[in-house]
Amino acid sequence: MLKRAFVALACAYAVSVPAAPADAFSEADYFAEQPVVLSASRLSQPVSRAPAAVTVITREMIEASGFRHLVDVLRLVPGFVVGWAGGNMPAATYIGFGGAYPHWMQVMVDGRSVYVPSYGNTSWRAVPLTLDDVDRIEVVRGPNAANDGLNSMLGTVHIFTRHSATTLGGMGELAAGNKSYREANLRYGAEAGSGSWRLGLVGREDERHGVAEDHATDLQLNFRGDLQPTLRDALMLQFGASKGFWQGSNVGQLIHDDQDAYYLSAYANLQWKRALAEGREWQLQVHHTLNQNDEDILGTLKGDYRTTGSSVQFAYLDQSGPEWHTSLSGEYRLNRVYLPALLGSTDYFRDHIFRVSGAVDWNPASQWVLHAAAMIERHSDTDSTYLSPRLALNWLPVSEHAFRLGYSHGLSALGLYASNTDIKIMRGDKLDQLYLSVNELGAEKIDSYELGYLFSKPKLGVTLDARIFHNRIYDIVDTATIPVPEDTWNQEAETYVNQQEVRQRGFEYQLRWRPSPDSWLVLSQSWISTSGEFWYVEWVPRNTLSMLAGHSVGGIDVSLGYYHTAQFHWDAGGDFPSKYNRLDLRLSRAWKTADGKIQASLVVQSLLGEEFESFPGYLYQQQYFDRRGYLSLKYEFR
Amino acid sequence: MACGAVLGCLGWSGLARSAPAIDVLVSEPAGIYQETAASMAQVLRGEGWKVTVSTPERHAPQGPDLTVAIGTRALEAALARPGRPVLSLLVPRLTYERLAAGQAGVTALYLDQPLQRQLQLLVLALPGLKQVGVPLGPMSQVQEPALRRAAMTAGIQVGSAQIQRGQDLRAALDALAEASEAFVLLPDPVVAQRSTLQSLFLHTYRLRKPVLAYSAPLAESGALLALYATPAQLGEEAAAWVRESWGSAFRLGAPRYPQRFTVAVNRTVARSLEIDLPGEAVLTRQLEALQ
Repeated sequence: MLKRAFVALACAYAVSVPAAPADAFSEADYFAEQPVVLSASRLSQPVSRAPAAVTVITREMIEASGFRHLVDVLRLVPGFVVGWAGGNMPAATYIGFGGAYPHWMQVMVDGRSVYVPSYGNTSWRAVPLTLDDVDRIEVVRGPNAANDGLNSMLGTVHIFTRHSATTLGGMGELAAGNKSYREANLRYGAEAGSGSWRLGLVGREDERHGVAEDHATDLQLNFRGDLQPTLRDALMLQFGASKGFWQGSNVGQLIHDDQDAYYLSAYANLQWKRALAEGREWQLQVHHTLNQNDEDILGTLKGDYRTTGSSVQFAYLDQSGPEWHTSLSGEYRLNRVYLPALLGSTDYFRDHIFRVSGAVDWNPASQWVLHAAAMIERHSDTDSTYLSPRLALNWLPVSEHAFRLGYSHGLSALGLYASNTDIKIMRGDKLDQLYLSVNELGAEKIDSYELGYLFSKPKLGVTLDARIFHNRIYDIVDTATIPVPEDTWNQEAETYVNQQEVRQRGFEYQLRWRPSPDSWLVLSQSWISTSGEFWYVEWVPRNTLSMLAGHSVGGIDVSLGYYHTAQFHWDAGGDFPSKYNRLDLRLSRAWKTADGKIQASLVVQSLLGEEFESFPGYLYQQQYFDRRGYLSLKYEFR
Repeated sequence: MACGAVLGCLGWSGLARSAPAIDVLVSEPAGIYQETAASMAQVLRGEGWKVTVSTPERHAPQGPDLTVAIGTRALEAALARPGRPVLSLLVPRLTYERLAAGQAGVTALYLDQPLQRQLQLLVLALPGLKQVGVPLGPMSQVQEPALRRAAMTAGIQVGSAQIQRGQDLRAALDALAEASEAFVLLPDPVVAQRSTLQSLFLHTYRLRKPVLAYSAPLAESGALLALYATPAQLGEEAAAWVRESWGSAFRLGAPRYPQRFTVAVNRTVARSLEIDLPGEAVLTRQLEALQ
């Protein structure tokens, strides 16, 4: 089956090789929209021609938001909710189904997948990346598994960092506020020949809710170097590490009040892009990521884990012809997981992953784009081959309006632990088998249909991105009780099985309006209707709203952010709902100096009072994010 | 007053009786071609002119007094059937000259903005500007004499470097940067290759030199400024030209650059290069005053 699929993909690629480019300039070169988003298909394309809904979070939005943690920025995307289980376990999810370990969403930094292979989630706080490093974030709303593979089921977050040539010189920032918040941020960048580099160092401590002693301290180091030996070659080397000392639990097992977790994350990422003849390009990327958690839970029970993810991938893109645009990529990835408390072994579990994906854009006329893409991937852990296809049709009848009709299939796995779980404890002299994997666990799946609409009127400074969608999510992994004769406590254990199904219908939009260069507004809303078992319905907020507005007056940048969700539950057990209705204010002013600028910012968060951010498990049951503020002083020089 | 009204009626009825038929030939019935055609047709139809829109595949040029070819493909199709006067729209000057130079009965409203206006915009945006650098490729190098004349009129110096291959662009930019405070990017398939544009802008950023470009997407990609005419502006200007040139037959005259234009500013680049720029509306007004 795999062989047949490979042959089909190769044939699809062969017939789509475009004709040679025209040798002269035409009007198309004046009006051709330059690359806007890359995340939906690897191909660079304006949002109106992309095969999926893509929200772009710009640096301007990030700065205006006043957020200090990467994960919080996702509140600016329609349908996203962000929660904090204690101070160290932030979680973000799109269209609901969020627990402490959301694994239905892929997160990538400069093409490097940062999910933790054990649980399939992203340890947001540990990603060695500050908001100062970020150039823009592209969020694909809807399954993007045809491009990004397993786990890109509800959406994908692609974070792109700033080129080191744009951060030359130095920067020092000190920020402090109440709730024990302190942060020092240092960066220095310089040029060397045809390259440039940047080194950043961050120290930070804060306290999110004050419940269960959730004080957290982080130390991060980040390097990015870029070399451009010719205008056709771009090489990038990144490496970094993040070390965290967090009160509380990082594995969702907060048993007592003085529990601590020590976390280490480190990575290296090497990327080489080469532009060939007009419109053709290849990319080679090699990266390695390490995550390590050390945590004593109770007695001999530990939450320790170590995971590594190593990958080498190659992609070839061809956008030379006016009609056919194609991409073809292959990747080998090795995930290794050491998780003795849950896997019942001190060995590393390995998952060898082979991926091949291809995408074809056919532009038969300027107002039509037909997009077909698929990824085939083989996982040794489950001895399974997965296929994730996508089809989309874009219609741009006139320059201001674009419509998109799309179908996408996505898959997800719970991470290595679900298919290898073996958790047992001794109760006196009796053995209690709590969890045991006995089934051939299949992937969770989604079939998603959408109708998208984009409106853009540059003269009025207005863009609107809206979509309605229908999702069928099935084979969702749930637990079931099985008999275990070896269990001398109660002769039974929980196991994981594919059995649940959920359907969703939803509408969401984002409106951007910039009436003048100094005033802007980004408004996002979503409404989602969910049917299925009642707990799934409760895990989805029926509506969300976020609004961020900025205005410059008298040299002062003023911005207001408002974030709201209807009441919902995080998937962590218990009855405590979560909702927020939060208003943030930021005032900022910059002064020029002889060699740079000084910027002072005041941010007040949760102006309306305390907001309920409850993860209803263990000691996280009644968490409030109450009013707080901080002051930041930043000096940048060249 | 009454006399004026009567004359007006006569003029209208006279025009209505002799209203010419125009065939608007579009390269594609969509996008920029459709937008240009629509803005032109709206003006002319409002005055009772007969305007039909066709594509090269369905072109039936019997009858019309003028063919307006919108786009390069449409121009090629119109030239293949001589006999009617042709007005070319939405085609760059160098492409037009390659296809139609010297042909009788053919003229154009170029897509490009005149070089002098481009340099005037740079002078307005960057007061104190003394010299600009212009990389020229095989296609754009014929513009060098015109570039020097335009620079002289704008009161600045121009340095140019000719390259034949894309891999020479970087060295050309480095050499030009020594004496230039800004770059001007002209349409040329060797200089402005889509695949290396990002690298090009990154390199100019490293050199701390702002770039003036010729299209809105280029301003979004990394140029500080862009000067261009939108399809709607070109359609409206062409309609006015056609209307003015109609007597008993069309006397359109020589090809010309558009009088109308749009200025785009990339604020992010301006901030990064620490350049204080007036707003787009202010620059547009100042530039209009110089025309």
